Amino acid sequence: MIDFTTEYYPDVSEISDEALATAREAVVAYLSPEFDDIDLSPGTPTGDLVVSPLAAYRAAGTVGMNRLLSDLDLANVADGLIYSCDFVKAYLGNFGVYDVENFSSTGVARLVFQEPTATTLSKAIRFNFGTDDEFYPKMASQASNVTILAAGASYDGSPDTYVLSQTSTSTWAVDIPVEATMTAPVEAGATGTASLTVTDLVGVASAIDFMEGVGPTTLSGLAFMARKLASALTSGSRASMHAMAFQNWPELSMVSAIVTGDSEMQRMPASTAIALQPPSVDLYVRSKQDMTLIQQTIRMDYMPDPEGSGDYVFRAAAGLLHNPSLIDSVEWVSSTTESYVTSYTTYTQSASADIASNEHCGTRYENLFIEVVPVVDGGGSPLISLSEETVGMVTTQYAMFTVSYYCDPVLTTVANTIESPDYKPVGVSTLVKSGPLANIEVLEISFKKSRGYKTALTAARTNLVDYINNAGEPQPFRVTEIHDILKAAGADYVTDIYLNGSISPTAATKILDIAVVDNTELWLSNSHAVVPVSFDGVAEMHTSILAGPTDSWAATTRTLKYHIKPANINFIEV
Amino acid sequence: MRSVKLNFNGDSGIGIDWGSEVSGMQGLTQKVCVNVMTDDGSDQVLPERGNTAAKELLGHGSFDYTRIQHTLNFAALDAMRDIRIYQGDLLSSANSLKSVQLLLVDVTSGQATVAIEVANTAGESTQTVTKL
Repeated sequence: MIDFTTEYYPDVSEISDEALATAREAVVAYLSPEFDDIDLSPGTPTGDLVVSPLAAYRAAGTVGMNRLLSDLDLANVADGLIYSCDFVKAYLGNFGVYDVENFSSTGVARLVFQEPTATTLSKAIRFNFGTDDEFYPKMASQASNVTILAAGASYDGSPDTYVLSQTSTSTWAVDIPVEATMTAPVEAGATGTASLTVTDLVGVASAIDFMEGVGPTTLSGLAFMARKLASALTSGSRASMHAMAFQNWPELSMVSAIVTGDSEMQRMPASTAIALQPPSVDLYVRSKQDMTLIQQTIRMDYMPDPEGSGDYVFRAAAGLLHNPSLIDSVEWVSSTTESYVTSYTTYTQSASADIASNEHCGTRYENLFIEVVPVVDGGGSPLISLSEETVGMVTTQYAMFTVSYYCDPVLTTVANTIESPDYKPVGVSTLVKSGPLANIEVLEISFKKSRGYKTALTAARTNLVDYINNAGEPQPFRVTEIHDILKAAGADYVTDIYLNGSISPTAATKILDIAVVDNTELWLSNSHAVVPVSFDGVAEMHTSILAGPTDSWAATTRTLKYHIKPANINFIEV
Repeated sequence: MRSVKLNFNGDSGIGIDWGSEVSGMQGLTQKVCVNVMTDDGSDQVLPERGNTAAKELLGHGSFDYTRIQHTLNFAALDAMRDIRIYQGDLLSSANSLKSVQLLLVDVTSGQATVAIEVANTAGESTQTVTKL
């Protein structure tokens, strides 16, 4: 219980003379009609010993009430003017806004199975990762189970449903979101245990560094969030989607809702001219763990090139644990320094009819296929060792490959909640995307510095990578930030910033136009290229984005996310 | 106008007689006495109240009757001001304060004996002798 007097009343010495005099007049004015024959003026025992102390108390009460009203006005609290932290904390709780102690931590548990078959997982299961905390599945629906689909299945749009992915010759894995009140950190790779026996489950580990759930750490920050929430209590508004995402995952670095009517909304057009465009929301998010590099082992079958070239190729439905934003490499699993892959081609196909031109930007509805042309010897045989599997009368040759790709491991967690019927606005088609990726191949910064001054370019490089790889609505990429980072590193000023790279809505290079049944179809003949939007030139100070035209991959300041490797940054002292 | 009675007990100070009350000219005289004896700034709620007579009288090692009387004249004016400011509509009533005069009677052992003459608008007056 908050003691109002202790929390809000000032000391008498803090009250202004004017406020005391005014309070005394008010006390006298209040008492006089009732006690008109008692002398309340100064110099009388009643006046000095009763009225004056009463006046001080009244003045303190007036100040205290004004302070309380100020604490009730979250505009003041958001500006940092707070009189009672205890009261404001409790008050903000009425809006569902709590300080850090009350947030659940979110993580991703990787469950490894020895069979690729479908299964279910009771939501009563608890996972332990070597700490005292028990994590439970973060459910987006009222279902009693988490549904795990067999490897190779397409995501069917159901909440709390995940698809198994092959991770080695004999293991398949699925990443599911978990939550708990975390008292000790859980780092990526921590071995875990499950409280219930699950058929074929052979391993549990943390897939990411678990998020602490730390949002705003100041009351003013919480008040700011509360004001946003209060203004967002309309179903399906841009603000409500922002507020919901930030409230559930306060560590998201980008949240941008694109709604019907926005130029970036890229869904299938209405089937007839008179049909109304259905209400839709595309929520672009990126977490601080975006562009995590994951290496996953997949099996690829060896077969004659279906296109009839006479060569042999490896093919597979990628079935990656997370939808990639960028594929870094595809290599035979046993290669060390020498590459055994001549080239590889990635194909994308949509499992949803509602996504225009396969602009998936990381949605769960993207199916990826990979074709590898191996390095061969003089006789045309691959240098890659082949394994064989015989099922019935059919023998298949295959090899295991490591796919290295960049992705946001938290995206599925966000999508599972936001896209679920319990959370998305009624009647509104909702998709969670990670945004078209502006991959910066070259960032060349020319700068001047004073003679004798040292520049901390290593730190500047780290800061630039950190900034660019986290930029996104509501804090989109700004060229001016590059100037600021260089100046902070000791440069006098930046003379020139040169950038080049490209923007693509998928990690694939081609879009498949046919259905895939057994990976033996004519993929190349029945596909068309994904044409990335290139950017190449000097970034002016007023340039806020690297976006292409809005009709190219929905890439604008509201949707783009950026990526750069440290090695792609060059500094030139001029 | 009623007020609780104060007993001015000379060297032993002022006592409050909660069982007795004063009114009329007696009450007005009592209030003048209190205001005359109120040091400047000693009232936390109304810091502008009071006068500097006691400080000035005690702050000098030698006695100059003219200077002391001069100080008392200002103290009388301050007391009148303080009472009138907070009397409000009493200014028009019959026993409103008309004048206050402080007359130096004697100075011994660092204390001034002062006669306080109070007159009201009804023509009544009192004289009280006290030490400052």
